This record gives sequence, structure tokens and C-alpha cells, in this order.
Amino acid sequence: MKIISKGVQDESADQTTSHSSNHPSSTGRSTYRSFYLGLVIAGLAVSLLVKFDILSRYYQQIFLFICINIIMTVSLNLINGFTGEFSIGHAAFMAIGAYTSCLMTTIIFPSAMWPWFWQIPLFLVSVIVGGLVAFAIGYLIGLPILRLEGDYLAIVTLAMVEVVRSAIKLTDELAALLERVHLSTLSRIVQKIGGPRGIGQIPGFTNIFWAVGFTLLSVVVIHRLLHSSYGRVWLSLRDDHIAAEMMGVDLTRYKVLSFAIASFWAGLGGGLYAHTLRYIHPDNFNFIKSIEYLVYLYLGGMSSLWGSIIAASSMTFLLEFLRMVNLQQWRLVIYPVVLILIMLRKPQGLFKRDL
Amino acid sequence: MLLLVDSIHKSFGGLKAVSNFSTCINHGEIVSIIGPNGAGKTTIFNLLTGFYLPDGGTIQFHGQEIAGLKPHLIAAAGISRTFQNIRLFSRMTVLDNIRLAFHLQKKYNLMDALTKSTTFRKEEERITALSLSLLKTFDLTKEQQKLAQSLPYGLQRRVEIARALATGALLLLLDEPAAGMNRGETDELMSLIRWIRKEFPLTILLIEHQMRMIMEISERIIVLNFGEKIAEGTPEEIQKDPAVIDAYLGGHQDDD
Repeated sequence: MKIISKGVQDESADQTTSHSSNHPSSTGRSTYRSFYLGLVIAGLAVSLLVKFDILSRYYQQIFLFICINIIMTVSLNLINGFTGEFSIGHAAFMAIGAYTSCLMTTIIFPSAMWPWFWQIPLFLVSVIVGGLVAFAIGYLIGLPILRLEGDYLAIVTLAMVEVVRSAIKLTDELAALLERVHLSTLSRIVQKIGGPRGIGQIPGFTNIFWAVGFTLLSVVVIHRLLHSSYGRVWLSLRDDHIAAEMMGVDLTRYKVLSFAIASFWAGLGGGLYAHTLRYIHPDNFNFIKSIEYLVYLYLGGMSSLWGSIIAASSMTFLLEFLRMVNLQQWRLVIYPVVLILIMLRKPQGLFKRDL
Repeated sequence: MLLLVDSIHKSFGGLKAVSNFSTCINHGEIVSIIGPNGAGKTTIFNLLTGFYLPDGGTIQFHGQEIAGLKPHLIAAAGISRTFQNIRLFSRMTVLDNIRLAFHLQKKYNLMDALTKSTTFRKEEERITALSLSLLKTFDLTKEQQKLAQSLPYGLQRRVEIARALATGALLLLLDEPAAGMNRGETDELMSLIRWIRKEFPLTILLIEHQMRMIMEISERIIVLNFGEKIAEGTPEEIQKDPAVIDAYLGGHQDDD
């Protein structure tokens, strides 16, 4: 909770100064530095407390989920907030990343048999490959869809969540088919994806170090891109795409770029998620998962990285808190109520736009 | 010759918005397009900038055929425009509105932006310096950190023109720049247009309704009515042209 309270203070300080200050971007930069520092300190604190048995390992896991949800929400903000598109497909890319990385660490190279100094690079490579596969698929999906104006992206990404989930469930049938055409090695690998049974016994490689590292990396990368010519183009698409086109902006190219970069981080988040949970199932990545990130995003505020960070971490904590007090069946009541309250009381989200 | 338009036409359903429009515009000219409402003036701008595909005819800009190109390629070729109802990036600062327009000139890639390489830093500094000097010449230095939507109307117009210039355009299309302006603001705008034409290697094509401004500023006037060109010439010639007088004052005028 340390980072949360710290973040809120910084943000309120930032908001009061940015009205009078002539350089909102420079104050923005220094508050992000405090986020980086805060996350590292919080990570250290949690891992120490767990090490000395003051907190149970359960709290460590909550911290990992907070990191993963920050990555997911911040990257969703890139599409839905900063670029002004509307995607409901973040869970699909998360699934793609999760299954790709598990395919590498659990099925193709069962890492339990490997010495530890090979396991770490294998894990890192698998998580990054998961992100890259999500990037590629995001790019291919985005290329035809983002040429269109309007809500097509929402419809297609909604469908994509179902397609990916159903496709994973059908891997048993695919394995049988491969067996019949005498590709038995491939068939055995596909068999292990497990269809509706999910993949179990995934090594729990995600630890606080990697989670904090990737979270910092994702925020730094997105923050830097937003403060470059690329970011200005994305913001211009959000504000007025006709004027942007007249300024020589290739709309499709830049929309696809932001969509694919966000998909990369969703895929990477999926890899971390799988290696935290140690058991994944197609239904982990259903439509509700996408909605979860949309709720975080709207709660924090569109086009506000701080909002995404604070909302993702506090909501993750809140939902785990519900589990602790045995109210987890109220989760799906809490989400809509939170959404309704935001829309009624603060339609812009809790935090102001940073850009 | 900068722009050569040869018999372009465009219809929407049964309505002929522009029929057989031809003209040529030389380097450094200020040319106005006038005509009653619905005469097809903005349609011509939309055809020149690629927002509409012409049904036929050719448009040559700087020796290059641009009819059928996508708007962003036409913009990159050197045509820029402002809009009748101002289209700024409302939630970006004035400075970022201008800096965006330089994105075609940026010489760094994604990796440079991620690593903040020296190329990135130098390019960003160069773009910011260019933008600031442009804002200074437009007397907008004080507004640089304000959001575009917070500016008064007249200043928004000025930012929009500055932004169009920042793309490095050779041909500037101004769609009713004086719309909604009072006499004093219009005078200011006219001296601004004259001044940018002198300072930048620029050719200006504008649509306008305010006759006083048109007659004072244009070197040549093209008159449209019902999608067709009915006259073309110097302000003096146009004022005496019987077809123009007929279109503006004559009996069959029924525009809404």
C-alpha cells in the first residue's frame, strides 16, 4: 500500500502545480521518477517482509498481481486513452502471451529438469517471445481493422477474445487431427496444451524482481514513447484524426503501431501472469478479464498513466481484500457498481489527463 | 506553375458538386475562390487534399500527379490546409500542435525514442526550437503551454495557420479564415496572410465570403456557381463581370 498512498500524494501535488507551472511535462517526469522509486521500495519491502515471515507468501502473490495489472492497464491506456481507439481485446493478447510462454517453459522445454542458471534466461525469453507473438497478432489484426473508422475495433476485439479462448479449448481436436496426418511429435505437444483442462504445473518463475523490472520497463517505455514524436501523433489521432491526416499522419500505420505495442505488453503481462498463477485455463482469459482492465482504466482516468497505475493497484488489492473477508462472490457486483459510480460522479476518471 | 487542375468533376448521387473545374496556380500567388453557398468551394479543397476522390480529371502539383493519393501523402507532397470550423488538437498544448506538424521531418526511429539516444535528443531539440521560433513569429509565445481548446477564436485561427505552415507546405489552402471575425480581426488576418506570403515561399488559395477581404488581398479570383467556374480574373475584372453580378445579385439565386 506504500506506493499507493505515495502516488496519490504526488499526483495531487502535481495537479496543483501544473496549473500555475509553465512546464507541466517536466513536473510529470519527476513524479514518474517517484513512481519508479516507490515501486522498487515497495517490492523490496514486500520481499523482505515475506522473507522474515511477517507477511505470508500470499501477500507476495498479491503484489505480483498488482504489477501485472499495472502493465495491463497502462498498455490498454495506450490504445483506449492516448490513441483514442476502443479495444475490448486485452484478454485475448494476454492469453496469447500466457500460452506462448507456457508452451516454451512447460511443454517444449520442461524447465523443471534444467539447472537454475538455464531456467532464468528460458523464462525471460519465453515471456518476451509471448509478447512478440502478441505483437505480431495485434499487428495483423490491426492492419485491416484500424483502416476503418468507428467502433469496428471494439466489435472485432470482442470477437477475438472469444475466438482465442475457443481456439485454445479446441487444441485436443487439433491434436487428434495432427495424429491422423502422422505428425505425432507435434500432436503430442499440442495435446499438452490441454484444451479445456488448461495447463498445470507451470514453474512459478515470476518473482518480485522480474515483476517490478517489467512493470518499470513498461511504464518507462510507454512514457518515453508518449513524449516523443510518436506520442504526439497518437494524441493527435485521439483529438482530431482528420486534422492529423492533413498534417501528413498515416492514420493506419500509427494506429496499428500503438495497438501492436499495447498488445506486446499485454502478451508479456500474460506470460508473467501464467508463471505467477502456475495454472492457466482458457476461461482465465474471457471477456470479463478484458472488462476488468477497462474498469481499472476508466476508474483511473483515460490518458492518465498515473490513474492507470493507482487504479490497477488499488482495485487489485481491494478485490483480494474481498477474498480475505470472504466476499469474493461480490466481485461481479463491485465492478459494475464501481463503473456506475465513476460514470455518475467522475466521468473523467479519478485522475486528470497527463497528456 | 505550382498547381495544374484539369477538368476535375465530382458528384454525390445525382448532385454535381464540381463539374469540369480547371485552373492553374503559379508560385507565390494569392488566389481566392468565391461563390454562393453550396457552389462547391469546399468540395474543391477536399478534392485537392485527397479527402474526396475526383470522379475524373487530373491534379498536378509540383509536376506530380496527386489525384487519387491518400491525404497524408498529399500533405507530405506539400499541400496543407485549414478548416472552416477550426480543427486543432484541442487537448494538446499549442506547442505540441505545432511540434506535431514537424513529425514528417523527424529523423529518428522508435528505438531512438525508447533509448533517448543523442539523435533523438538533437531532433527533439531542433523540432522544439523550430516550433518556438514559428510561434514567436506568430506572436503566440505566451500561449505555448496552453491547451489549444482554451484559446480564443482568433488565436485558434492563428495557431491553425502556423500549424499548416509547420508542415513545410508550398501551397496553403485557407477555408474561410475570416469566418466569424469582426472588422478589426479581419484586418489583422489580412496583414498576417500578406506577411506569411512574404516570409515563406508560399502560394495561397483561399475560400472566403467577406468581399472586402477578397478584393483587397487576392491577386486573382475564381468564381464558382453550381459547381462550375463562371469567371476568373483580377478583382477589378470580377467586379465588372456580368456573369458574377448575375450569380450574386441576379434573379435565379435560390441558395439557402
